[in-house]
Amino acid sequence: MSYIRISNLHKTYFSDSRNHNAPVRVFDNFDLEIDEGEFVALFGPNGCGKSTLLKILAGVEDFQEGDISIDGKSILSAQVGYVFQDYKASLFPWRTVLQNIVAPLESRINANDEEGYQRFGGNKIVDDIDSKPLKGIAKTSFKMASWISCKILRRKAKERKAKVISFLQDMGLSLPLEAYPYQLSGGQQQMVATARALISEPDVMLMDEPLSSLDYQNALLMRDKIQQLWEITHTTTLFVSHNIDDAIYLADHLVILSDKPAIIKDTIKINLPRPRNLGILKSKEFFDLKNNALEVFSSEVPISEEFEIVK
Amino acid sequence: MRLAWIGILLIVAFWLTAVYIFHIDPIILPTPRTFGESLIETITSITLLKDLAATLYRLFLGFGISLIAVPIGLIMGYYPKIYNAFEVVIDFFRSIPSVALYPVFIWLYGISGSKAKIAVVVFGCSLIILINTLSGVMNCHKDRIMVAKTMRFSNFQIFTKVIFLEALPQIFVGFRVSISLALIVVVVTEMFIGSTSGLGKSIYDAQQILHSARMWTSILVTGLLGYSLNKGLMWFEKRYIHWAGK
Repeated sequence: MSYIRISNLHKTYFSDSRNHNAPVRVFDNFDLEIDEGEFVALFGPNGCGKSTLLKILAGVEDFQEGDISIDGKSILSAQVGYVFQDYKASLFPWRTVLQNIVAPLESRINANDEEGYQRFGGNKIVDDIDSKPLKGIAKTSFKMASWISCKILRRKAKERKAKVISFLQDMGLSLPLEAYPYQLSGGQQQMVATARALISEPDVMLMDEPLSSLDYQNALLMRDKIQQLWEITHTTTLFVSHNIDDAIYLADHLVILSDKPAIIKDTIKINLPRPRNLGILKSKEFFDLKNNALEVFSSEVPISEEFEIVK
Repeated sequence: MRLAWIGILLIVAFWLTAVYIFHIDPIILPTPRTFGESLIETITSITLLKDLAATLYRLFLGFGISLIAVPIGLIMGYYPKIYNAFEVVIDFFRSIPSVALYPVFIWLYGISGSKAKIAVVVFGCSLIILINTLSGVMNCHKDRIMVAKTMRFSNFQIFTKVIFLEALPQIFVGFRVSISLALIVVVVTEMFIGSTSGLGKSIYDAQQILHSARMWTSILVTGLLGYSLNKGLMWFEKRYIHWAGK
């Protein structure tokens, strides 16, 4: 029984501004299975739906039809960690590093309690803010009124903070906890975003091109950090990348998607030994894997143009 | 900071040139000596303090009442449908210069005292604060809301922990603009005949009796008031919203 099972997924954007507001079919009877603890890289042409797939798995994008389960649970019951490409837009600038990482722990919903999630108004997977917080306000203010002692709140906050500090120690991450995101470098900010995604011990880590906004050096360092974190936690990870080197370096399996409506063109098993280091990029095995992947990829989209120099 | 003195000295040099070289009419611009005398006279007098107090009272009470626009703006920004119902009305009324409505409030509250003036301030400021609050909520980064959802925040948590904070810088833009407007409105309304106190009244009275030194003194005090209001807000923003725009 696979850990993540997507079957018969149908997803259409009804008025895609990138397509003259015509409906765009992103997924049509799409299937994907991922085993527990695996690191899977998703590779494919631009706009083929890789990010959409991650958003659907995270529960922030709805879909027309399909059967999705994560560790046997429905999407909203599962705990996900999401790392965005744009760390500036995903971190909370008004919170320090520590407060950012602690944020997922503040969720009052036990992720494994789907009923609890629905109680708090999360019964629709929508990506616009068209729900009713007033009911939540009434219920919450009642709860708060009965929380007379703020000692409880303060104690819980302390517990959360301690959890963050021990978590960072376990992961071997050293970050300036009292700094604000805008005071950090890009690499550090993305590190904070990753730590924040991991702290809730998610069932699946969803990484949407986390290295694409970093400069080359930081991208290499971050790549190794991602590998290191995965070796420690063995969290099932879906890693979207447009860089084939990163994808092969990190992954157990490389899934190559076609253009939309996306199907899996190929799944290449990456047999490279772990832990992987930069030396592996020079090996024949890496070379063969990369060529294999590029061949499949170029059968889908053009990746070079022949031209003649006319004298 | 040292360079700033160059600007100040140039202004003073301009003033001295105008007075002693161009012999400008002392009614328009007093000599430094008469200005200095008047300055000492007014600082040691009670009337200036009374006027300053009156202006401050109207300013802060008016601004304070206008803060009700913040929760209204938050709700309207969160429920676009409510905003759509009121958008045209809001846009129309905020386009009316607040002082234009002063006569209406004179009918309601009379010209002496503070009520009518405060009402004008409330009218102008609340609309500005409302629009900026709305804008702050509606222009919240969708990405951050998405992040909050992946963290399984409840809708209420998303609103208080993300949307509200994201809107704060824009709300403070509204505060900055409206406090400046409030000062203008209060001073102007105090210049109407019939006002009993206020900095605007002291400026107008001095002008009527052709006492330019006293007039310029009052103008200076008014300017210092506006300057410190702005500086105060900026300090507050730097302390509590230092992360904005970064």
